[in-house]
Amino acid sequence: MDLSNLDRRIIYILVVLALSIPLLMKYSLKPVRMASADRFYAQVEALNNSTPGIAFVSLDFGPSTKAENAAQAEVVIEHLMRRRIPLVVFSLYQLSEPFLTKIPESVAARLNAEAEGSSWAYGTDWVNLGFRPGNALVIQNIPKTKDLVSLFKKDALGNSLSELPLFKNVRTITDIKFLAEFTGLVGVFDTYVQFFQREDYKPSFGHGCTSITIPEAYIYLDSGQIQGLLEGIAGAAWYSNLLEQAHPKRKPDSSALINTGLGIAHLVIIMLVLLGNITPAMRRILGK
Amino acid sequence: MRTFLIRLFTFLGGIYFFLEFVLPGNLNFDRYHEEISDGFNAIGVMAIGLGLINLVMFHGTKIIYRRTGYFHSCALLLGLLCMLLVSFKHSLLNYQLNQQVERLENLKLFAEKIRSDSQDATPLSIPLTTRNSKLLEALNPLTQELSQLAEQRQSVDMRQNLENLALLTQALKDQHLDDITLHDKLILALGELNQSYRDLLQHEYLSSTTKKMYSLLFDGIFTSLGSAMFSLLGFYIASAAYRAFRIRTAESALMTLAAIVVMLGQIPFGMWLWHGLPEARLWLLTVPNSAAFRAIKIGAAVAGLVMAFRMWFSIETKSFAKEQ
Repeated sequence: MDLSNLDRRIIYILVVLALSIPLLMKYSLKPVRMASADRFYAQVEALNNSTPGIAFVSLDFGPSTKAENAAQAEVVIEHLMRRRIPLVVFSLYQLSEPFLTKIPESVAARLNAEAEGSSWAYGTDWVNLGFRPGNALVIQNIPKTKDLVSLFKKDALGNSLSELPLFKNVRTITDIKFLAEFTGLVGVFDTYVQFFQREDYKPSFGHGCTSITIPEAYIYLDSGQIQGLLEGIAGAAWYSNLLEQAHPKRKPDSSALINTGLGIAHLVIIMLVLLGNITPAMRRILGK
Repeated sequence: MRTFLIRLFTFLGGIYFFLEFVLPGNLNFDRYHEEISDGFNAIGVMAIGLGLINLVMFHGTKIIYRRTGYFHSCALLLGLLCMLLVSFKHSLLNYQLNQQVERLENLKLFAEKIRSDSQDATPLSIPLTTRNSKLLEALNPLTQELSQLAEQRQSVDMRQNLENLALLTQALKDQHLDDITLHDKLILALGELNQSYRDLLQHEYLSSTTKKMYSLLFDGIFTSLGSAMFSLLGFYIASAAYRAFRIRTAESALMTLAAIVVMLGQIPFGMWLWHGLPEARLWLLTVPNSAAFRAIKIGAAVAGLVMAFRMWFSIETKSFAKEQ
């Protein structure tokens, strides 16, 4: 059999087995330490929850990248909620609408079940602003406005923002302590880097990207334009691990499981790459 | 004339955003930026018809003339129609819900206005008693309607809030409508009633057939299909990596080595091989990768700038100019 010319179907079967067997057997390994995820975690830990201010969480992903971005969004929203930092979820991408509702609700439900005597409620701990059309134009307006409540007016459910306790002391961008943005789309992240700031103020910025956009995101981390980065599902898995260490009662989520499956798939790909090079190498050696 | 107008508006649009970005904030050039942004959204909405019309024309023609693959066109148009109708009904339900709740919200705003005008000692053309009388007049039919609804739906919260409101309105009447001190409690009561009314309507909306169909089509079918379609990429990438990473030259060997280090550096199994793999991966990403990507980004940005200038000055006129 020519190992450098395997049938594609064999490759597909190997990938299916590599991804499905760990998931079915619930085989999970501790994720690798990701320094960029450590920085993201430290940034959220450093937020002062005794002063007024909110976190702005932008979920700009759809079904196509939800495997990575949804896991990232869940762990960061959980961390913000645990630290009692009020947060606003929002999106520039219309296909993210279901995630804007489901992710904070599921995290809050989990925390309500875990923490006795504490509760997390809509309107006080989080608000869903929904999808806003306009891309860069929307982001440009946020630093300019003197009143965020009159800019956005209502939340996704139709509640007037002035009625919601979360927006009681929120007026301008200076009241946004932290921006977390999760996307796999091209061009969206750059818009936030460019426009989500004012001459005299820039909130801390953490970004969650898909594996394919990691190389591009690193230049912003290196230059200090973002203070934390979650690199695909590996970043989410390490972040989840950090949360487990800080909160022993926390039930593990699926990010470590998915990360392990992904790791095995990576090994299969490396093995295929090596196999593909063995036969030509042998031919060259024997030919000599 | 047409070409001239297109060029003129293109230039004006470009110059506005250019000046808005470069001029200092104290000049207030961007005073109407929000309104202009809304205007751009309105223009973008006109494109809604374009896609629909093109799809219907193309696939409709295939169906009418029974061309090859017309069955797939039927499926597409059927799916389009289904989603369009359900989404429209879903939006309409949402709109109606908000309209119903808005009545109570407006009364609450009115009560707040009465309170703030009295506190600020604003000279009023309409006396306080008349304003309070109008407020109670508007509240009366609404509270009766909500009472009936609360009875039908057996909503304990709404009934409680309606009772509180009734007590406060009676107290106000007892003061001959000339009292402002009750307005704080009245506003609070209206807010609580508003919230319980909204919760009730929201609950009904979530259990409605339209919402369930929308969830089935969007969350159940569209989201799942989207994830499945994207997941196919994983298999293509595995196959492409197998065929592409062939070591024939020193450069290809370097590329393959870098790919293997990056992959192993982020998976748990890499740690079993060598503890330094994550650091090696980090070095690769922060040093050579960052340098290369910065160069690519700057190059792309310069190219984008040149293209933007060409479009701003309508040098790229092939789409709009008449054929000579």
